[in-house]
Amino acid sequence: MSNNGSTVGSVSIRNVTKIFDPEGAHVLALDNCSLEIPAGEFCVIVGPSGCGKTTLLNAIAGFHGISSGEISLDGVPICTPEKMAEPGADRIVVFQNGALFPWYTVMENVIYGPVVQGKMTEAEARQAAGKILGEMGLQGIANCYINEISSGMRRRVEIARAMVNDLKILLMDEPYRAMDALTKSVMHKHLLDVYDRAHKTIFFITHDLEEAIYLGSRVVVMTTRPGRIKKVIDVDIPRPRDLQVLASERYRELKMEVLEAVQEEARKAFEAGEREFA
Amino acid sequence: MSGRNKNSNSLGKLGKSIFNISFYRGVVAIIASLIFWEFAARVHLPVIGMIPAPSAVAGSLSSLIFTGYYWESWYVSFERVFSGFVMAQIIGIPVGLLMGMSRKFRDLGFPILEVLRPIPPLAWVPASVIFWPTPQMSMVFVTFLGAFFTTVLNILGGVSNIDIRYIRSARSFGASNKDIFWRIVLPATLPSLCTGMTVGMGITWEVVVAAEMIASRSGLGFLTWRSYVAGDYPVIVIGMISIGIAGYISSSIIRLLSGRATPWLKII
Amino acid sequence: MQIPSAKPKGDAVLAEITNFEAMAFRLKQWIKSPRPYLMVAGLLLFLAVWYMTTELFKLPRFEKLPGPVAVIREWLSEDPSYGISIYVSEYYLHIIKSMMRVFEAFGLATLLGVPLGLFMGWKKVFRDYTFPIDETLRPIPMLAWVPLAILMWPAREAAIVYLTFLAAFFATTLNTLLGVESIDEVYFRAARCLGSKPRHIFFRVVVPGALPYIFTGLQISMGVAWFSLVAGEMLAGEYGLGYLIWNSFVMVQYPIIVIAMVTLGFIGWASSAAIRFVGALLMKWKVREVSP
Repeated sequence: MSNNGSTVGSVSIRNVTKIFDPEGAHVLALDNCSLEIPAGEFCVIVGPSGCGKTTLLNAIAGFHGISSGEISLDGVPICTPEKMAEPGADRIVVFQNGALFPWYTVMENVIYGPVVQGKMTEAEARQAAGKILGEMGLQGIANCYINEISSGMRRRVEIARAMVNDLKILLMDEPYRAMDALTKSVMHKHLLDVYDRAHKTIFFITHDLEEAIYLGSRVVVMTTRPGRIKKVIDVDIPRPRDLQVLASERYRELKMEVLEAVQEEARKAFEAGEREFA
Repeated sequence: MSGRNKNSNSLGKLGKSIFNISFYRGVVAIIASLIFWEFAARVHLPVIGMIPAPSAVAGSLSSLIFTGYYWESWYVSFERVFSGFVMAQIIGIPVGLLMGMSRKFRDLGFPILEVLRPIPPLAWVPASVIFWPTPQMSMVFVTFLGAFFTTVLNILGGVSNIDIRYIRSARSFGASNKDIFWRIVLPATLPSLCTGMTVGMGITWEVVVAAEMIASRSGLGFLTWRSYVAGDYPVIVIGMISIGIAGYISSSIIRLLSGRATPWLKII
Repeated sequence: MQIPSAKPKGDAVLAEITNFEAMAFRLKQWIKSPRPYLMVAGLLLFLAVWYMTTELFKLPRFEKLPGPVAVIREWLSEDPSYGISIYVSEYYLHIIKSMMRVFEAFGLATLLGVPLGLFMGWKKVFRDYTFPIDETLRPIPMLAWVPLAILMWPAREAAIVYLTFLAAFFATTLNTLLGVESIDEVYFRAARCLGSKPRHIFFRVVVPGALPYIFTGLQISMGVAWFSLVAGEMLAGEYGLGYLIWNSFVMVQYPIIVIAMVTLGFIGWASSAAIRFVGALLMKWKVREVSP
């Protein structure tokens, strides 16, 4: 459907359960989640706060393990209850609040991956990074430090830092969360361009439904704790997409569909939160 | 968080967090260093072996703690620390506030402060002895100097870092200058005052100890120095440990008071 | 896409052009404002009070203290009555001796303290074993070590350097450790995502991430080094500014006390300024920070 002709980067999540057990408190974060993400798909996960979206992402990235089930990448199991995944450059995360190294310039950040992996010499990496920064319209800030550029720039640099690697899947954890609507729309356009060009699988977490439909090929709605997959909605809006999509009839129908699925969960999560604070 | 209704559970949690692996490693490390220390003293290792062995220290301690002289040293040092420290707060807080609130006063006073501050407090000992009529007064003065600069600078920093929005918000509620001082400036400066006090207390003990060694005939610092001069070496270590405990007690009191004074800074 | 990409570029160029001009402008504004005059007035006021209390009116108690005129006359005299002035080589001998001691102690403390702190922050097991020892020793004021230091080391010189070292070492180690702890976990995760090996994480995340705290630590370390040095020299020194102060007190050569105090203050200030300068040079990313 929106396969882009990619052959690598398919993720299969089978019956994954994750129980957090900090000091006796038994929290079921993920409950028997199964999801197949074909290679090259832009898969968006939506759900209320605390529904285990980030838990799932962390398990794929290798930041923590799972209690049962299995996650495999291109048919190779990478995460099982016995052995958590090893973080690696085939699955790069774009973090919620950004994780560009402030002690490096934009260029030094982007060449970080290829250089430490020993895949390129520094000169080669600079060339590759220059090309990617150029494609993204970021060449002008290559020698700026991270503290000198805007938050929108930072997100784009972070994506560039990921894309310069030989990655299979890009994991994005609410990357545009704290942004104003205008910046966000620029970011969305940028990400869509990157996606259309690079044919990489993207695993994108958000709780912004409009963002989810606008960007995603499939929207996966998760339930509040325990995190289960409630509904998977195919977004059959053709690519390349632009702002026109937001005014289309189909977009509104899909939004209604997702909204209905999410609303109930949001209310449950809110009430659970209220109780937690009481 | 919910300790009251799940008492047994939270007790278990407490146990878990204190008696975890890090705690045991710490205990092992301390015991190992004590054994090494004893061993070093027994076989006369160079440098470290010169430190009186823990067994010798323990022996001296058992007789020393029953002497009035030992406890009087505690009292004298505490009195000096307390007097100097309190004086530093009494004078330092208004000076800091004044400098923080009035630009003119700050411009006038800051250079003096900056010229005097880099001089180590102990360099003042002779001048202080010359100036003050009694040794006690000169000790207290040097102690005062140690804490004074820290207090002033911390208050100054605290006042100048107050978020202007608080003051604007107070103004929009119709607050007078007096209200702003008592209800905004003072509480907003409290955290940095507490920081300054904690740091100042540490410096105060450093200064008192050295000043007592250099120019006094009483106090824990003198006790330590005299033991060295008299060749009663294990008492040196007792003196050091006593000073450490005294300093720790003082800092804990300051921390406790700071916590009480700034309840809004507690992290839940 | 062109507009946002052009913006920071423009900013960067703009910043370069205006940096110098802005500085000149600020300087002009500063000269025009009452601030510099008040600052000078403050210092003059201080000198005046000192002069009047000690030399002009000779107030009780104050008259015993050396006044500014006596101090400056002695300091600038080609033939000083107490033997210390800018024309006397012995003055510089004291300065150099003190500076050498601080330099040795500070250098050693940095060479040992920074790696130790980094390692403690990086490897939890190592920290679990070493930190409690550090925490047990730290409440003891450094100056309480004076007698023990003299006892431990065969030579006075070594004792003084050891004492100075000890104070600097604790400050450096602790701040370096805090620096490593201050690094956001997300940077470690990002580094691992990008395929770092442990050594990359150490050299490219731990070290640069801890650098701001390390330099704060080095500044504190320099301060406490001078602080301890003075005490050590007063009690056990031969030569050095602390010794000079104490010796002048014993020999009733009071103006020299003030000369030595001011000299100490100046050198102490200059050494802290030097560290700040090096820190700013190494942490351009921190210095150039602007509000996001």
